[in-house]
This record gives sequence, C-alpha cells and structure tokens, in this order.
Amino acid sequence: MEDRSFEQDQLVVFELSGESFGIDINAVQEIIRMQQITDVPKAPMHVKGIINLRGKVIPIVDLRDKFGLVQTEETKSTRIVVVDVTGCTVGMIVDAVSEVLRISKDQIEDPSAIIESYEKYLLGIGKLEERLVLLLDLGKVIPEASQLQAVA
Amino acid sequence: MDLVFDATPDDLSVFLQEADELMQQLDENVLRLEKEGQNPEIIQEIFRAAHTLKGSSGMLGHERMAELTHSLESLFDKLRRDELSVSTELIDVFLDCLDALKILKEECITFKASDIDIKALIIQIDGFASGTPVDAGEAGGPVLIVLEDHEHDVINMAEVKGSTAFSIRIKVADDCMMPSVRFYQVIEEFQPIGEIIKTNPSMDVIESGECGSELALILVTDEDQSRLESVVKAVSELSEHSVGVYSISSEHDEDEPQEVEETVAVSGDKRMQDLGPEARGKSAQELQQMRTAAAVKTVRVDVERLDHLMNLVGELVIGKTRLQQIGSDLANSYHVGDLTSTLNEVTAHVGQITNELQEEVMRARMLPIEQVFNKFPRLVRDLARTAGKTINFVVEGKETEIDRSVLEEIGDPLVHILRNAIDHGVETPDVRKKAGKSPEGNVFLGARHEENHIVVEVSDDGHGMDVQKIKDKAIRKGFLTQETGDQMSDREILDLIFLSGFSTADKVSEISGRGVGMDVVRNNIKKINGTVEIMSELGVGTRFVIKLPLTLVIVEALTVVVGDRIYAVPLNTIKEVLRLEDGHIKMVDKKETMLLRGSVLSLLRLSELFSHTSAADRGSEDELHVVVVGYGENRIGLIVDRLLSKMEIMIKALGDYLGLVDGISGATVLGDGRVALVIDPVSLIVKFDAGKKLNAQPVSKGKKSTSKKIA
Repeated sequence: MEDRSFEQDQLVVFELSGESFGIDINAVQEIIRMQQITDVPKAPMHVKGIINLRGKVIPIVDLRDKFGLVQTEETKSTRIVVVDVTGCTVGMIVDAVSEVLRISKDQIEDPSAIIESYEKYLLGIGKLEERLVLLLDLGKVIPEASQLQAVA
Repeated sequence: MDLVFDATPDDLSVFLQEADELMQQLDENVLRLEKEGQNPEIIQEIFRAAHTLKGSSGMLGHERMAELTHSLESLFDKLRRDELSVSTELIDVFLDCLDALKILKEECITFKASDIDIKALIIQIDGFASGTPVDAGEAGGPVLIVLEDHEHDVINMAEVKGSTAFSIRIKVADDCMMPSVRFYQVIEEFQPIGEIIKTNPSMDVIESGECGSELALILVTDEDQSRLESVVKAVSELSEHSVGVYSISSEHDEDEPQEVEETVAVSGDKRMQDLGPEARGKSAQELQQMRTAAAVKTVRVDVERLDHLMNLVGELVIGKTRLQQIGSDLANSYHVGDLTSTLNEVTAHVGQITNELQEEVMRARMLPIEQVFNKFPRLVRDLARTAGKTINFVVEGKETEIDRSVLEEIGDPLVHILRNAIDHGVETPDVRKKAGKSPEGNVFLGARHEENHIVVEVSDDGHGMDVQKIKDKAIRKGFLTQETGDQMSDREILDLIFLSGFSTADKVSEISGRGVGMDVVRNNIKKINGTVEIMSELGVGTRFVIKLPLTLVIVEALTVVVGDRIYAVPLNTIKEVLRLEDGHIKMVDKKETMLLRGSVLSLLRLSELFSHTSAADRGSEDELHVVVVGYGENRIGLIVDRLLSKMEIMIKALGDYLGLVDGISGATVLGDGRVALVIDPVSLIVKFDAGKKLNAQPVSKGKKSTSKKIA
C-alpha cells in the first residue's frame, strides 16, 4: 500500500454486517444513537438523508450500500458515528460500536490480497489476536461532494 | 519593490478600513462638487478627508500616499479660501488622483509598490493650485472663516466659562497703502482683551504683507460688543467694520437658523452627521455631549461574530418553538394543571424575549444600502462619458437598511443592470432630441421598504425593449416555437432575456440592447431569495424591480405534509392556498392543471417530484391542498396532502457533501426536532418551464375555487 498509514494508533472499531471496521479516532466527532432520518430527494443510494445534530444539519450515509454488504435490521445497538473528514461532517450508520483499541504498524497488512469488493476504501487490515479489523480510509469513503454536486 | 510600513497588521487593517471610508466619501463628494459647483460645505468635507488621509498615511510611512494627499489638501485649501474655482479640468485631475489613491491603498495589502506615477499628478495639482488665484474681494463673497474641530472646542469651552465668541470683519480703505499694517494693528488691539481663535488671512500671510483688503477674525472675550466696536473704530484707515456674535451659520449658510452655534454641515464630522436633524438647534454644549456619546456608543464588531450571533439566535428560535410544542403537547395529554400553565407562561416569556433578541441581532446586521449605492454615481459618470451620453443619475432611499448578507450579493446584479441601462437603454443626446426627449437621459436607482421586503428599482427613460425583436430572436434561437411565442404576453417575453444563453449572440445592442449576462443577474438575485421583474415600454424606458428579503437566515414558512414527510415553503413565495376538490384537476397535454379564477395553473405533485408516497396515492383528490407559489407573474401549484402550520424557520444549507438539490434550498429543524426540507419554488418553476410558457393563460370560461389567503 501507499505511504498513507495511521499517524495515530488509536482506532474506533465498529461492526457492519458482521465485519469489524476501524477508523482513526481523531476523525470521530461523536457517536450518537440512531434517530429519524429525513430523506433527501435525488441523493445517491448510500446517502440515507439528513439529521439534526444539535441544530446542525448533517448527511447520513449507509456504508453497507456503498460496500455491497447485506442489509441488517436496525437494533438497539445501531449507532451513528459522526466523523469529520476534510471539512465535511458526515454520519455513518453502523450496527454497533464495539471498542477503542490501539494498534501498531506491524500489525497492519496490505488489504488487496483478501478483499476485492471494497478494497479501494481500505488503508489496510489490522491483525489482532483472533480477528481482523478492516481499516477504513475515510478520505476515500467520504469526500465526494464535488461528484455529488455534478449528479444533482 | 517591496514596501515596509511602520504599523502592526491591526493598525494596517484599521487604516485600510478608514481609508476605504474616506475614499468613498471623496468619491461621492467630488461628484457632488461637479454637480453643485463651488459649494463650501463639500469643499470643506473633501479637504478634511484629504487631511485625515494625509495624517494616517504619514503615520504608516506610506510616503507616496502622504505626498499625494498633501497636494490635494493644499489644492482644496485654496478652493475653500475661494482662491480657486471648481472647473471640469480640476474635477478630472481630482478623479485621477482618487484612482491613484486607491492603487496606493492596495499597496498596503500587497506590500508591493505599484508603478503609478504620482509625481505627474502632483505637478498637475500644483499647476492648478498655483494658477492665478481669484482675489477674495473681487470674487464678491466675504472672507470666510472655517474653523477646525479643535477650534470649535475652544469656543465651546470659552462659552461654558461665560465668555462670548465674536466674529469681527474689517475692510481697509481703498487708498490704504499697507493693509497688513492696519490688520496687524487691529490684532494687536484685540490680543490683550481676549483670545484670537483664527484670522483670515492667517497671521503668516499678514506678516508677509501679501494680503487683500479684508480681514476676518474670531475672538473669544469677556468684553461686550460695544467695547469691541470702539476698539475697532480707534484704528484709522478702515472703510468698513462689523462686530457680531459668532455663529457658524451666519458665517456660512444663510439657510441655517441663526441661533445654531455650530452646524452639522461645517463640522464635517461623520458622527455629527449621524446624529441627524435633531442635532440641529441644540446648544453647543449639548452637541458636544451628543458627540461624545455617539463616539462612545459605537463599537466595531467583526462580521463573523455577528454571523455567529445570528446563528445562535436561530438555534434559540428553534428551541423556543420546541418548548412551545412541548407545552401544548403536555396540555393536550394531561389536564391543565399549575405546572403546565406555569410552563406555558415561562415559554411565552422566553418566546417574547427571543423574538426581541432576534430583532435586535437582525438590526445589528443591517447596513444602509448606501454602502452599495455609493459606488454607482462614479460608475454611471464613467460609463456615460465612455458611451458619450449625458445622464442625470438620481439615487433615492440610500438609507434603507438591509441585511449584510443580502447587501453583499446585490452589488453585482445592480452594476449589470445599470451598465445595460446606460450602454443600451439610454440613447445618445442626438437620438433623444430627435425622439423629442430631453438630451439628458435619466437613470433612477431607488430602494425602499415594502412589507417584509426591500424593493430596489432601476429605471431609465431610454428607448426600452422591443418585445417583437426579443420574440423573433427567441424563436430563431430555438427557445420558443412561433406558436407558443404568439401566445405569450409581453411580460413573459421580456422575461426571456433572463434565460441563460439568450443573448450570447452578436450585436446584442441591436436586439433591444439588453440581455448580456441577464441570467447571471437573475441567478444572483435568486440566490438570496429575491425576485426580479422587468417592465419596459418601447420608446419610453425600462424598469427593473428587484424584491429582496430583509434577511436570509430566518424566514417565515408554511409547513406542509406530503406522505410521511414535512416540507417547509417560504411564506414570501406563497401566493395563496386552495383546497382541491374532486374533479378540479384537468389534464392538459398530459400534465395536471387546474383552473384558478379563469386561468390555467400548472400543478406539480411534490410526492412525484421527490419520488415518495403521498395520501393522493390512495386515490381521492378530495382533501388535498394546492399551495400556489410564484415569483413575478409566474405561478405554479404544489399539491400537498395537508397544511401544518406557519412558523419561523432557520434555513440551513444541506452542506458540501450533498451539494445542491434542485427544488430544495436547504433544510430546517422543526419544533419537534425533526428535519424538514425547505422548498425553493423559484428553482422549481424555472426547472418546470425550462424556457417554455411561463404562466397561466387566460381561458374564457372560469370556474371558482375555494381559496383563502395566507396572511
């Protein structure tokens, strides 16, 4: 993989359709409970709509649509992870937020060999004792404002 | 060459702000000067502005600016002494100087020396200044004394202590060999009995011996008038003398009431002018107090801070609405008890305060539209000169206040419209004479409040727009078919010039003369929730009427329900609201329409537009509502399931991530915390017709609908 790697070794780990994903803790603004989402017409499939975050209107994306994962029912543990990427505040729906953990660089491996469908969104794969955590490249998942505007 | 200024960045920004204001003032005044000629009041203001600029640029170490302003100052000093008179050449040089000053001011931002040659300008100015001075006596007017602020202060102080200021003027006999000696003698006589504030000619001039036959001086003394007269009488070789209690008005302007001891005009002090007419007629002491008070009461606030404040107030408004909702929910769910009624009381109180706060903050963000309008006289003058036209430019309603954010956006469209009016609207003097009009074209720019809007109007008495030519062109360019073109009203056709790409063709001016970038004009105005309409009569002139909201952030809206969603429709775009009954909807050309007072109204289902369900899917059209929205003459009916309520909403952008969505201007948070999308009727309409017929067509047979207006 390229030079891009975690400057910080702390990750927020969340579950999505049975898989564990990790994102840089510095990008996470807050984690809130699921709430009513207002649809936005003509928005891309994976944009579920907008919510009111203490008076601020932010868009909500569903990564399952983006990554082609199976849809899961909303449960008590469903959360919205609010992240701040390149100036955009966006909420991501996740099945559950499981933990915050530390990871060192030698535990991270190149993703290409294992996952094909959404490999381009990954920075790497963290190997932790018994399980794998997919490290998301938020910069690739989120900043698509310009493309979206072109669509709209 | 890089420039170094002797100032901190803060100092620089203060200087730039001040310089901007002063140059604006100079710009305005020079044009007034051109129009009104030798008006001492204006000359004094210009002198003062140049003087201030000289001082502050000198402090910064901006030498070239200080040099240039110094020359200007001396030039206007001559003017105010009546040693020079105003001429077109002088105005031209002065305007060149202003342009140069603006470039020099830019140097404070770029820190690079520009290649402007101020030496040449200074030589020109000095040329004027050293031209044959007009003798004060021969010029007919009496020798004037114009006092500076600090000199006024001395007089005020003296008056507080019980002394009186006298204005004394003497004229030596024609055969007097050395007037300066007599002047000197008079001054010598007065010195022991009081304080001489100022003399004209100045002491330096008197000592040099090169003075005219008149002397004026201001003396503050405890003596009375008769004593002073006897002193003057004792001096020989005087042909005339007068001693009077000093008041600026008598020195200066016959129109001013005599008892006013200090007029707004002469002080030239911006703050004083701001005090307004009530300042006139007050005693000097009171004025002094008012001035101090005005100085203390103004605070410069960063614009961002105001914006933030406005956002917070917007949040508060939402919170207030939510509180009200909770209050009424509580009252509905439980019987009304002490607690709920107390809550409602408190809510009402908070609501009231929030409203007041909102109003105050909004007012704090308001600026007079003057800030934009002031740039135009110069623009018009220059454009008219280039185009070889004479234009009488009238500006009205400069003081109309408007939200900062609106103000920022309105400048460009207005420049565009004005430019068109001068370039293509107003004819050349020859053509006008032939058409039986006065050779001078009239262009009017005005602003006024109208209900919840600001109306800005630009009109000219030029040759107007040729509807037929516009129609032909639209057909030729494929915007219209001949058939639809023939059905359109004149106003609809005029509206075509706002279409993008309409006037990119050659020889724009031949086709009615307008249209260059008119789509930009409308888009800019639309961006700030404004509307623009054109009225034009061939041979008579053209009128643009722009309606702008007072503020962008908080608007009143009607919330409506469609299916399981709530939308907010800005109230200012709603024309009326109707209830649909079975059979109202008629299909015309496979599109849903209805008859409204004899006109066909196109209907649009929000549920279809935004592809979701609606109550209408269950079949019945009964009980549905139509919200008629529009701008100008354009109307469209939005079909909704239910009307909810009228409320104040704060429009929030959807954000960069989602960008712009057609038909949606943003989102807002409702009283219950839910998010509703805000409908943008203007873009809906524009998209809906996309260049086709824009509004309802008269139909012979009318059918009545139940309609109610929304207040």
